[in-house]
Amino acid sequence: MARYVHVGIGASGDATHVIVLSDYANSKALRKGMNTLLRKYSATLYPWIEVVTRKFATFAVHRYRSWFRDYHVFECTEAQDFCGLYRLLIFINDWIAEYGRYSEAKGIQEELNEIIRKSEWISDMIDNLWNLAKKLWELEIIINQRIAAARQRMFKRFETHHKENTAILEKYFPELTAPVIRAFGTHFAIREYLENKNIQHAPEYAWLVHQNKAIMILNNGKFELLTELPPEKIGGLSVYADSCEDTDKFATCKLVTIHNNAVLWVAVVGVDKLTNQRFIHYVPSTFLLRDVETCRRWVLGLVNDHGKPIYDNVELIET
Amino acid sequence: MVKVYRQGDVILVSADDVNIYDGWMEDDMLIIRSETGNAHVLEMPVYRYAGALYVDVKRQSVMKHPEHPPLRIEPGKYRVLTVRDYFLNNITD
Repeated sequence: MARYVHVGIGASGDATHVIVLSDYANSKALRKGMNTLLRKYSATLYPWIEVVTRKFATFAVHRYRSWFRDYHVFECTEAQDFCGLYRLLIFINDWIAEYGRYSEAKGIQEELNEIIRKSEWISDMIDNLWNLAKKLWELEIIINQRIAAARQRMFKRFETHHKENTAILEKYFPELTAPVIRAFGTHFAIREYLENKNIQHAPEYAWLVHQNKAIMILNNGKFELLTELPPEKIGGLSVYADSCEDTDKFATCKLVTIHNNAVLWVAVVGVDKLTNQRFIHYVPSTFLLRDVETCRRWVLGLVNDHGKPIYDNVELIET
Repeated sequence: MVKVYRQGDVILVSADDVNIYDGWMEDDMLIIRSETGNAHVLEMPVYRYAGALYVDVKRQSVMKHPEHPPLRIEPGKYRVLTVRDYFLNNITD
């Protein structure tokens, strides 16, 4: 265990800080190789770090200034484990950053503030923070269980809707009932394939396959999936038609592609019945559970990334 | 009431409150090529204002494209846009 923890706090407008562990009590600890870095530049951690450090400032064995930060050096002993204290604060901060948005985490920040405010001694603060950390571990299990259950329900919904939309798929997009998957080793090979087929935006699509594991394109009027996944992993790829619409002017479907329980992307595919032209447009993942018409309106620039209308009272005239 | 016209991938959104004449006239005709190589054509002056493209439709006109039915456009100023694609519009290195 390191002997000292150095806590460097920037000015309040700066909100940066550096926390390192070292066997040196002076500024030598900041030199390369002389420390173990715990955390750097986390704006969310800043308020708690500043309050705790100022609270226990009298326990600092040394103080110095470096790179516009004021450093307090605390000794890490069994009786006053400042290293453990700051590790706990970092863990709780990271937990709040990861899970704070879930309903189960309501009140956790207030609980942390209360612990820091009320604990007069370092040992009390560490005990209370440990109890909070144990509570957070239990909450994490509950939250992850809930997320997994919701994810299963969502995939079940996609399967159900896909079956309901089979008639439209078979009529207008028969190849999507069993999509052709072309696997390539590199995105350079994909780019070469696309350029040979005279596909527009070939370099962009090749790069998108590299970023997103698989991308659907229109090749000579037919939809096909391109992927860089190795053959043993392609089985985890699934394409679902979650929502479809069939009007007198066009037929559209919202596609959701999943690989090993992770959603890759959401897209609108369609055919213009007047011109018999097919199209595919990718939409933000915020439209994962939206209907196909809302997705189409995003493509037309009529709704924002969250499906809210951009204009009041729109008259849409299309051919 | 906001009028939005769409012909293929080309979208015109009414913009009568925009003073496009503070920009400059870029062309006397709107021509936008589609992926097939054919062009959407609207024979009305085109302006560039604040980085955006506008067309000034002075009288009822028709936007033509060989593969799409003609689209009748009412008089007014319109911002010229194309359909969006989340991936292609946001691609980064």
